Amino acid sequence: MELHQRSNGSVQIVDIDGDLDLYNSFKLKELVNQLVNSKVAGLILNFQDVSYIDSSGVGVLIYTNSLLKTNNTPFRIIQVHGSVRRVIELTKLIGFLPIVDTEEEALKQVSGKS
Amino acid sequence: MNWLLFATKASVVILSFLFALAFRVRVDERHVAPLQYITLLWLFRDFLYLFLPSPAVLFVSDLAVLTGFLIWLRTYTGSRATDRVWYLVGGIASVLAVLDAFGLPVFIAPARLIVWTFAVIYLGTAFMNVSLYNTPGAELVTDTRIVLIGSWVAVGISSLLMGYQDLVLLHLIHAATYLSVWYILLVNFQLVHTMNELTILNLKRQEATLFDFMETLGEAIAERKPIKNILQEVVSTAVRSTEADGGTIWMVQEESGVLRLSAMEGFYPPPFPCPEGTKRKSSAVEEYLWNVQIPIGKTPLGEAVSDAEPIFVKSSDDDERLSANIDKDILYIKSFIAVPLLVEDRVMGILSLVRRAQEAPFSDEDYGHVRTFANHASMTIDNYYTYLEALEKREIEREVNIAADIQEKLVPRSFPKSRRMEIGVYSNSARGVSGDYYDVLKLDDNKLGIVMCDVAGKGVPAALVMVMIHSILRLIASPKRDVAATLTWINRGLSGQIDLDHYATMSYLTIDENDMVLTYSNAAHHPLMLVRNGSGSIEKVDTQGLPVGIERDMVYPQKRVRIQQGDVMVLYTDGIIEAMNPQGEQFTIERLTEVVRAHREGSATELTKAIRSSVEEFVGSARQHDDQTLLVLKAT
Repeated sequence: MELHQRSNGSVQIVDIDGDLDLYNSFKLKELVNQLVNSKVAGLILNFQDVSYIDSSGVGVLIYTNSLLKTNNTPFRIIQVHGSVRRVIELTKLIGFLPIVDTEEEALKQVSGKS
Repeated sequence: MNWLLFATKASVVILSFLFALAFRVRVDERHVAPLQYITLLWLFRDFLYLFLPSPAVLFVSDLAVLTGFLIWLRTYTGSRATDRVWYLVGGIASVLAVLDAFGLPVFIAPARLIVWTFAVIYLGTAFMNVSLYNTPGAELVTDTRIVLIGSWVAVGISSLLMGYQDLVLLHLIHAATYLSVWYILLVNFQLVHTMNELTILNLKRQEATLFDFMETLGEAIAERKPIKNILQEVVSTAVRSTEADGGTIWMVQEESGVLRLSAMEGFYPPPFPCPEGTKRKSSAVEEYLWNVQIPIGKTPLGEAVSDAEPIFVKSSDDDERLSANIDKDILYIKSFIAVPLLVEDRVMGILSLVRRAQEAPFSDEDYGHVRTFANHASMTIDNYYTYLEALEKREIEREVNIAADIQEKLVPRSFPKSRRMEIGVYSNSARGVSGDYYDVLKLDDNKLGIVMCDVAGKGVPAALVMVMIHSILRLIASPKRDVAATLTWINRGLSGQIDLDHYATMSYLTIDENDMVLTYSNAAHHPLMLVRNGSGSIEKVDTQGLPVGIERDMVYPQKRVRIQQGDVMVLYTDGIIEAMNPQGEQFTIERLTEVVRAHREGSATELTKAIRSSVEEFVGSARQHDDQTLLVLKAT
């Protein structure tokens, strides 16, 4: 799995490429911690190129959500599809995690808040 | 002049010629040839002088010899436009001297002296202008030029004092100047020897550096020092072994694709323009370096990365790549090396060194040394990364194994006896990602409590969640407390206690054997599958709620269902319906439903066996990565 960082204004967008599983989801957790420490103004995780997630991956999403909520930093997850969406649906987390369809929408919501 | 004297002089010259032939060590053909022509010229002029004893022969040939030396010099420096003046003056003087010899008194002794003075000054300046910095490899010139110029001055002065055809001048001083070629060649021989010793010393130094470096790195790796320390070790070794003033390592950032400073030793002025404010203090420059991001392809460092080619600027004087560093201030760089750290064809980063003293640029040997060193360093760094990854993986696996042991201890070995319920369980641990946990409790004589649970995350933390659920459940489960409250309490007990990336989906249900009422509450686990006796209709029993461990204030609802004799209830985890065959297809809930429906007449144990063999048949030889757990209840 690879994490590609880019920014739109003060919002950080992380494009995740590959599987988010037991062996690498900690990398995402580390990156999120790093971004929170550097006082990021908003975070969007792009799941367009993620086709597999396991429970440790979902765990990191829950962690990220709650960490950013505590820090009052807007957070969105975008482009969740296929089996990744199914896994999140099954665990009834669709409503819990801030998932929106497109980057445009996410940016609008995130920038509006910050 | 007689033949005997000529023979003496000739033998000196001939020996010089042969000597030059023999000593083509290190010096290549184009440097030796002019010296050989000079000896031949001397031989020819002495021979000519036997028959034509005119000062013109001596004078013209001396000018020719000087021209020979000038040509020799130019084999090192390349040709110069100003030499045309020399050829013009020499040519005119020669013509005049020859005319003089034929009786036209136009070129007498004082004129010769003037020309000779001009000659010595012109050649002397040309020879003295050579330095090792502007003309690499010209050690032979710089080491012999004083003697050469001295011999020309001596010839000039003695011909002024003694007259041009004095016997002493002709046979002693001239002969002595012939030895200058011997001298050059001897110095050459000595130079070759010194060079060899230097090379050996240099190689030894390289070997020692590499050895020390490998040893230090070995220790650092054994102690599992962070990569930052390793890079620091690399850069300080490089700086020490090349006597550089400063050095840096910049690593390519995987996520953003820019270069960032990773290690620095000594003082290193950036080889690119830096903000006005930082220019004055070295600490400000350092601060700036630690924060700057260099796009790949920009600045000399970025270019060396994008081209995957090293850069060597011996002197910033004549190289525009260091235009930001030519003012003699704090940012001045004399000499610059940047070598990419390559693994196969991938550039991981770049090692760069600078020297700042005006008179001491890096030598070609230094540059070669840095390149060899960078090669070894990249290999080591790459190996270290691979090693860390393997270690990390091994650690995760070790934890997973510990977790699996805990999991094994928690699940029940046998089930409490029940009057009206049969229980069948199949559980297969995959030592992979998730921890399945199930339990059957006898709450009182008439009540069973059953839990099915799937803990997310990995290793020991996940196993601890499992232990906590097990403990809280054992502590609070009672026939009086209803199912929803039990689940709500478990959630409250877990939330805030565990890392948020660990959570669990779980179902909890009780069955009252007096009135055969099943009460069910679900924290985002798979719904209970209820197959009715007789009709064979299938109901999904489910309630709302997040997994436990996420939201402390979650209140779970519950559902009551009356069950009849012959009804079958199935609880399962992801591993069952996501069991994968070699084609990558999943077992799916549809297949599970199919099997349950087909075998619902059998006992709970038979049904469990049927599902198990169906799953096993489906997956065939494919390796499973998730725990599989299945629990079947049947009302009797």
